Amino acid sequence: MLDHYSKPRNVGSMPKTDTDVGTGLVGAPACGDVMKLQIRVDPTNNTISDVKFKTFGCGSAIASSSYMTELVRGMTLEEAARIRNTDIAKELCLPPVKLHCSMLAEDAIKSAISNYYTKNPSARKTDLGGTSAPLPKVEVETITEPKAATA
Amino acid sequence: MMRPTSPAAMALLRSTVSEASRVPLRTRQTATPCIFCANHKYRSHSAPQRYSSTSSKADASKPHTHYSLFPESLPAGPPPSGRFHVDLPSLKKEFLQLQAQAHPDRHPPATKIKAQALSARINEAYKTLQNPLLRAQYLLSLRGIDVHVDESAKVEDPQLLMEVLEAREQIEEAENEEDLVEMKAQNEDRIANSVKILEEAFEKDDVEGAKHEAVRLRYWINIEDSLQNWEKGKPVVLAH
Repeated sequence: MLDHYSKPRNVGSMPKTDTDVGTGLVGAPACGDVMKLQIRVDPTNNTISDVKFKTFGCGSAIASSSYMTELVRGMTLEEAARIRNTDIAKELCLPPVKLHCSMLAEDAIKSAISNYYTKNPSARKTDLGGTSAPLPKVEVETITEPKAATA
Repeated sequence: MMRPTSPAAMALLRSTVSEASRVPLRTRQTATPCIFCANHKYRSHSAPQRYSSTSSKADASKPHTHYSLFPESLPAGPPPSGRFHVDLPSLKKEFLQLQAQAHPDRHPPATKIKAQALSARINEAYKTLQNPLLRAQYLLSLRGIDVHVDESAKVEDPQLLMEVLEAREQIEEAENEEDLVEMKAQNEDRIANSVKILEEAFEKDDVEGAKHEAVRLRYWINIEDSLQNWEKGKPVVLAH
């Protein structure tokens, strides 16, 4: 797991104006870190087709976001929204003082998903496609709705 | 010759240091990490009662602050009674005077330990007061707000995050030292502006405003560190 510290994956940016790109930008005031996480979503099945991040912070914050990008690639938005910071902290063996780094990564993916839904309000609706597959329940829906309404 | 500090100030210092010695050790940053062990070695049987007393919670609410160590340069105490602004030259002068008197080498073995603790206490206070960010965080902590230790706090300011991200990307894309000149000037403006806002907030006793601005200043200071430690092609990793 040290690998994520020394060789972070998926560093970079995507054009945030693209409608299929959701951008999450979060920060930890305690240490002055900033983390940007972007997801590109395949609108046909609501899965994350590409993911990039840029983190300016300590090594643990970089490793947490790097690991998060590996984790969410290929996931549906609903699955990605269910990731908890403890999953990351456990995987990276973060010490207790660095738990906020994994919280930051969790906030970042939630914020990116929420941003995508804001841009694509129809993505949440259950009238997509004609498949018989059960349509997902979206956890973040309640959080994003007021934002979408005021936007 | 250095002007001696007034006897009253020294008495105050002595009382402060005996309080400091009752504070749990790990919360203090002393030059000698284990003064208690050292103390036992020096006078194994005298067993002074103040070392045997366990730390009590009441100590935390003592009115003594870093400000009370510097009665000459900071007579009005912490804001809102005093100002947030600190006159650095006079603070430094008083610091050097205090430190000259407290220096452990100037004390006989019997009071050396006490002098060491006092010296460490003066250092800590000076380090905190001379730095606007540490001073702001310290003043907030006196009001029960610990911005710099609250792990779960989030930045509720998207504008700030955008600005920080852009500044950071600019630093990352810099090709040479000249590219940084303008960024440094811009960041110095940000710092000066934040310090001004903090000054106003503390003087109006606007704790929320001060807290908000202290977070912003934290970011500007991190950017300043990155600008100063910039090397071509070196990734930005913050140490904290």
